Amino acid sequence: MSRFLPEPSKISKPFWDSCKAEAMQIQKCGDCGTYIFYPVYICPECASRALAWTPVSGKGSVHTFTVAEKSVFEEVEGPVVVALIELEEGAMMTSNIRTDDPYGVRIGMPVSLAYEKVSEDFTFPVFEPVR
Amino acid sequence: MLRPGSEAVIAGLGEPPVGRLIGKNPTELHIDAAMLAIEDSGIDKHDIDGLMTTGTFLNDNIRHHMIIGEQLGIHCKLFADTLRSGGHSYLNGVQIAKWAVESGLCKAVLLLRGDTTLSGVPKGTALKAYIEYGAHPIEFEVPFGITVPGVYAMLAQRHMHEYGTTSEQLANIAVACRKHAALNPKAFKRDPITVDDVVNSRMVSTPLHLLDCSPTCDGAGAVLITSLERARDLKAKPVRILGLGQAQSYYHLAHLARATGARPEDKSRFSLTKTVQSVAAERAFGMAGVKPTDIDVAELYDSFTITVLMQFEDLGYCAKGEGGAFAAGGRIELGGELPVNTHGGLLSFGSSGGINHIIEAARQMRGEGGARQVKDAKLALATNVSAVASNHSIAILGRD
Repeated sequence: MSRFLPEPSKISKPFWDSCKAEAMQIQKCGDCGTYIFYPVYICPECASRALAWTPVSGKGSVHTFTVAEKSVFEEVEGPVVVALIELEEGAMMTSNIRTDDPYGVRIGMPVSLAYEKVSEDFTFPVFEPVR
Repeated sequence: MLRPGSEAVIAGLGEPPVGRLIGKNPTELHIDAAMLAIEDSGIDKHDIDGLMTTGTFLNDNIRHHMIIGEQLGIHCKLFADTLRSGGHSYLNGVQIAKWAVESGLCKAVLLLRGDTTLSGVPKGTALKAYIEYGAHPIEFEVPFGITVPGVYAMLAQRHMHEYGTTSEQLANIAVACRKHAALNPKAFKRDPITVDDVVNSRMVSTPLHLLDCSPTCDGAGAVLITSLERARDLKAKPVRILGLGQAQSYYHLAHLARATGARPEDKSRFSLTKTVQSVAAERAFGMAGVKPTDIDVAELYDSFTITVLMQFEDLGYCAKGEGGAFAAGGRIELGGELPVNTHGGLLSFGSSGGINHIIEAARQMRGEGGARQVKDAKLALATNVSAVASNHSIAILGRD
């Protein structure tokens, strides 16, 4: 199948817009300080509505991952690394690791944010191993 | 307190053939399963006044339970619904049926499953269908190429990292299921396999191999639930429902892994590798008044080998991290301490969904397991797991 693109909603549009601008922002709770991903209406920790779009450092580490020989998407060449990344700020996000050594990826490996333009409208946040 | 005799029991089982059922469709499979359960129990069809179905993978319909009820000629239901919580819909259905019977709402409730996920899904369309079905979060996981084996592989990877679990330990689970399936003439996959076969099978998504994954398969099942006193007047041996427990956490991996929103003191209890099944287990074992080691046979939901391995820990059979060691040495095979998936499980019996685990647990309690019967089994455990090990239901069954 062809690459599946998101359909942004009212609350997720700022996230996708920030990725397109290559300056990713996620929500931060103004009351308890929790960084939250994916976009939400209330802070899942303290129920505050005071959520502010906030830039992140782009530093993180691999919480877990899997390598598949082939991508499920026709346009994407394998092997593909799907990973759950823990951002320095504490939030986690599912993403891809872009590397020439996919089978060398390890849990705990430091990674940094990069951007991959996948269409006219979308740039995806991806991660690269820190060299 | 329930009046003695009014407690809900399993009073009928229906399990049509599984495999590649060319020419069958999901509706026909529902009818096949239902008629087998009605025949098995000997119930007068007019006494069935509760009906639950679990929807279909393709072409699901908001009136699914109505379509099936109408085909069966079960006219006026006092409770009817379609349950759509994936692999744990079946024990969720047992819980609801128990409430319906014990509250006096229904006399007898029929729970059905039937689908053709193997022969009924055109080649090359399954992935798109899974996405549309809602298997994974569509905006924040699907665009990165996530798959069903892929997410369970991510759990396995993490488990290996934290506890040193190995592919060979996971493979023991697939081997045990296959050994049991060889004793079950109805099973889909019956050729013997070894640990080497599993770890040398094609890598689907690291670290899970093809034989760590349950095959796509057509199948069906039916469970009839009524009161003990009513069941005693029927044909089949009643099977007691001694304990039930359910727990459900999150859909997105990012929140599942962090136990987002949990009480601060509870956060360290849960992670990708520490599931809320431990909470469901406490309830089920507490309600039954038994310990995990009292169980004679366990039918554990086995979408993947890792799904089973983590359950040994979360159900309380071993400490967290020791699931791999627990699965070794024949402990989970017939003749071992805890025979697991005596019918062969999803990994080798096949079918789809978790209804066949309930059917096998009940069959073992009726002493009708044939070559795979666990001798003198008095207590059986059945589990259902879905949505990346975030939805859990557990039942402890016993003999009348």
